[in-house]
Amino acid sequence: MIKTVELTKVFRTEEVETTALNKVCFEIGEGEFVAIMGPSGCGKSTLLNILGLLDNPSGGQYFFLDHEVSGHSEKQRANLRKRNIGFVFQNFNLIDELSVFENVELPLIYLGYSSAERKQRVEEVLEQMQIMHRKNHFPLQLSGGQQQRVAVCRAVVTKPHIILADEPTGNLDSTHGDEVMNLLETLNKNGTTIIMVTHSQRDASYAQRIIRLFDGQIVTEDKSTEFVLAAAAAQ
Amino acid sequence: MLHHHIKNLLRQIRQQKTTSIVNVLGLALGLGITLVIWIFVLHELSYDKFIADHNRIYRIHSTAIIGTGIPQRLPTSMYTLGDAMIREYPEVEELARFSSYYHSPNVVFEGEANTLSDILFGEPGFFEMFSFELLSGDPTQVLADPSSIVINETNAARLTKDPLDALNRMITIQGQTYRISGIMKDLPENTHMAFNAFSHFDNLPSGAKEAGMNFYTYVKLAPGTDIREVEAKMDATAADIIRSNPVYEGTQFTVEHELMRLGDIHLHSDLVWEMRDNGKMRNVIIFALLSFLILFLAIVNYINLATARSMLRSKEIGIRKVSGATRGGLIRQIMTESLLTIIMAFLAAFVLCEIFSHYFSQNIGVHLSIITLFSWKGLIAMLLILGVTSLLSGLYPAFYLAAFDPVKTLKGEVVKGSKGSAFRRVLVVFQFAITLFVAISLIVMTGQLRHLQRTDLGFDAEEVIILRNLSGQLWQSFQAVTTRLEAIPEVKSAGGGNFIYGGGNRIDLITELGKDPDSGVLADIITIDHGFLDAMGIELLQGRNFHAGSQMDVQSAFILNETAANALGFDEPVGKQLYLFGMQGPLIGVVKDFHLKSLHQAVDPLVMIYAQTGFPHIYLKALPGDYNQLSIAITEALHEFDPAYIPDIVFLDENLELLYQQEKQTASLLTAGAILAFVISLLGVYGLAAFSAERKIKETGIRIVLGASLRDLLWHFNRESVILSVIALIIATPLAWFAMNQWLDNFTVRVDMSVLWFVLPGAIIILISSLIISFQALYTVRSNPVESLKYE
Repeated sequence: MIKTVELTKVFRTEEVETTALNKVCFEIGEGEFVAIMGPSGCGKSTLLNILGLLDNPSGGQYFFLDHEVSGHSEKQRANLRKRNIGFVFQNFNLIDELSVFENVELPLIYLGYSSAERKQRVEEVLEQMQIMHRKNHFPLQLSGGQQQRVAVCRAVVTKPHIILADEPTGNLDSTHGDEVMNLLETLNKNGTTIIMVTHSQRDASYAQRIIRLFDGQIVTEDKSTEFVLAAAAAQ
Repeated sequence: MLHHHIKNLLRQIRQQKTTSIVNVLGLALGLGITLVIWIFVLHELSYDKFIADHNRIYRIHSTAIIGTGIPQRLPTSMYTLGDAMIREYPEVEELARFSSYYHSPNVVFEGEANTLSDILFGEPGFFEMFSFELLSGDPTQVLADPSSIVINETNAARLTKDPLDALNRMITIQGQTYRISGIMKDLPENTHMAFNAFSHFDNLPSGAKEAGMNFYTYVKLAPGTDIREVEAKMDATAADIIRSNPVYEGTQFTVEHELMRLGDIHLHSDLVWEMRDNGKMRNVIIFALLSFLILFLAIVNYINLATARSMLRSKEIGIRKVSGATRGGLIRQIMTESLLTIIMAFLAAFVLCEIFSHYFSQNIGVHLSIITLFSWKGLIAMLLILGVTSLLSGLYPAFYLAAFDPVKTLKGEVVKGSKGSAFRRVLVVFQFAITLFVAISLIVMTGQLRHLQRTDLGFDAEEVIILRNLSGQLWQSFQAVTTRLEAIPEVKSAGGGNFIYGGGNRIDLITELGKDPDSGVLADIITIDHGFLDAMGIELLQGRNFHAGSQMDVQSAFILNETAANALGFDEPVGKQLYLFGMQGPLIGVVKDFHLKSLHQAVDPLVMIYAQTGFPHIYLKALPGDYNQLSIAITEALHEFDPAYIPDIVFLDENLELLYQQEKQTASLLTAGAILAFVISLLGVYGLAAFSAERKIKETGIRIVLGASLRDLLWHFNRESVILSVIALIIATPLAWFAMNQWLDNFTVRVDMSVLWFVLPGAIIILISSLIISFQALYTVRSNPVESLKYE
């Protein structure tokens, strides 16, 4: 489903050139739950942005649904993105001026759904995520956990192939964090591919595979459960 | 999608009330004044366009040249030229000539004395050629009978209650009886013509048609006629007429002609003897420019606030992009928001437009109605204004916001937008510069008008009263009337004159008797009596005044002004024998130059000749005091001679002010423009200050913790605005100086521009901006620094 070949991203300023990703190669199959881990500044978010078609790589190839997309224009990327990818962010990124319903509805508007279809889809997903009772509230009237649940609703409302989650529990306490991770796990079990950037071992344990990055390169790629066991044995 | 955008916009407005109000109000003010100015512009451009075939109707203008004298341009021409054109010019489809004759004739209606002024005598086909509406009467027949007269609705209503009742009744004017054969609707405001009644030119005294250039002449030409060719033909015809008319024998008199399209007269013709004050194309252009400048100020506010608020919207834009919005889609969204905001402002602008139009109607003497905007031209103008405003306001913020990188905005990185803020600074400088330019121009104009009022005109205008347009009975007993008036204790002296100050005069060639006519000088000719110089306080430099009652002086003695005496090359002027078109006699006195016309014009050579009676106007010098009482006393005195006379009393200094009506109009519009420019610019300052104060709470907290004093903080907040104002002043000053220098060139007497006039608006803008910014800054500074640091 996703394949990168020597994916490279270089940031240039007037004085400094920083290689955020250095010839990264990996593949992710349909229905996988993959965690990307690594220390701050290792290139995790840069990788996620490229995978999410928010940014283009400086070099290498990126195959998305078997198509090479690294040279796509912003318009082409936007088109692919809105049909196939859902995003969940650490800071929720809901529009404060829009209600819960309207925030979730937003991607459907850009996909050109009719008003009736939008209503049906949004209510369906709100029910599913048990936040229907808050549909007319505004983000600032909700708890962090509830806000992230809304963000997940927004990510899944278009029934995307992939959900990209950037530290989805980073701003939540453990109870709310677990709630969100369980949601993602359920989605994965229903067939959605999930790629998640995280610092948290606990969250990573929900994934089937962990890609570890350091200084823009992949250092290990392992099965999550094996890693957890190995870590426990080492202790 | 539109529904979504509208909802989104309304929520934004609710959440950011201050900036939204500033935004809409600023735009509404700018649009309001723009709409009013465009009502004015459309009004000015509409003159005479309602007349059928106006594109083919031309007025003949004549330029008379005597010898080597200065050419004199007139809106009139020779009567006989029209005769020749009807006979010999196949391209002339219709021709109409007319002339006024009586100032204030004796009028009797049904045995009672009455009044009727501004009567024109002309071609019987006048109403066929000019489609002025007749309430009653057939345009082709209404003047067929020479003893018929058409009068307007207002005057007809004065005669008989129902205007149409006046039809077919008899009215006597200067002893001649006319049948009222038609009632015309009062002339619309947008015509260059002015008359209350129109009759056949056979009623003019014999001789009125034979010489001079006293007839307004209009021709309707066949489609496709070459105008230049017709003009050349008219010059040749006029030369033939002059050659064959014994009156012009011995003079080198030539007349050149030009044709002015009917619809152009109001804005392009400003000659002596215009039927009413015309407008000026220059003013229309100045006002249109002013409207664009003010609208631009409002648009700048909108752009500045929209881009400044971009920081608040960056997250939203990022999310929309992530959710699938394309750049084009976002541009459309933001443009739609701009359009919706501008439509809201437009609605508010209509209310403001209605208020402004009352102000302007009062101040510029033109009735401006908002209905003009709903004509098809008005609708096109409004659509253009709406389109241009939406595009200019929306485009930059749309492209600016839509270009945000979602990766950065979603990480919560503040969009610093150094490009955006630099652009914003440039716009603020422009805004301030325009405001200062308008303000400086206004100050210079006001200064010049005040200077004109203080200029020594060569006479004493204080307490001079003019009794205008005397009736025939008063003309005839003129000396008795002045003697009676001088008997009023408050009247110091009285004199007669055949001219109205600032109006048009007869112009003719004066020469030294026996000399070649080419050595003569074209001069203004006025007829006065012995009391005139005294009443006006005009200083006699050499020789003597006309002797009261001296038959010797009547039509045979001359008083010149200094300029005329010098132009004729006289060292010892008094005693020289002079010749003036059929009259000769000695030069008996020379007066100090005085301004007979407005100060736009230099003092021209002036010849004064003497008459004892027949003056249409009396000039009175009064003692300071109660003018209402004096007016009553004057009216009583005049009624002893003509009980029906309706006095027309004006003060000379008021009449002087009328000469600068155009400048006053400009100044009045400019005053409103300058005030609005200030208000809009300062609204912008307020909007940006409120916004930046809110954004700087955390920064201010840090500064306070680090030991910044209140003064430091105020300077920190104000510094940028002060620097931008000074840059704006540096840009505006030379531009305003140049423009105002050009404007002042229209006057022969001009004020010296003071440095203070340039610095003062700058100082005011800096002061008020600083107050606004400081007020906002204080609000921020007063907040608890610890709280500030917790913020965000």
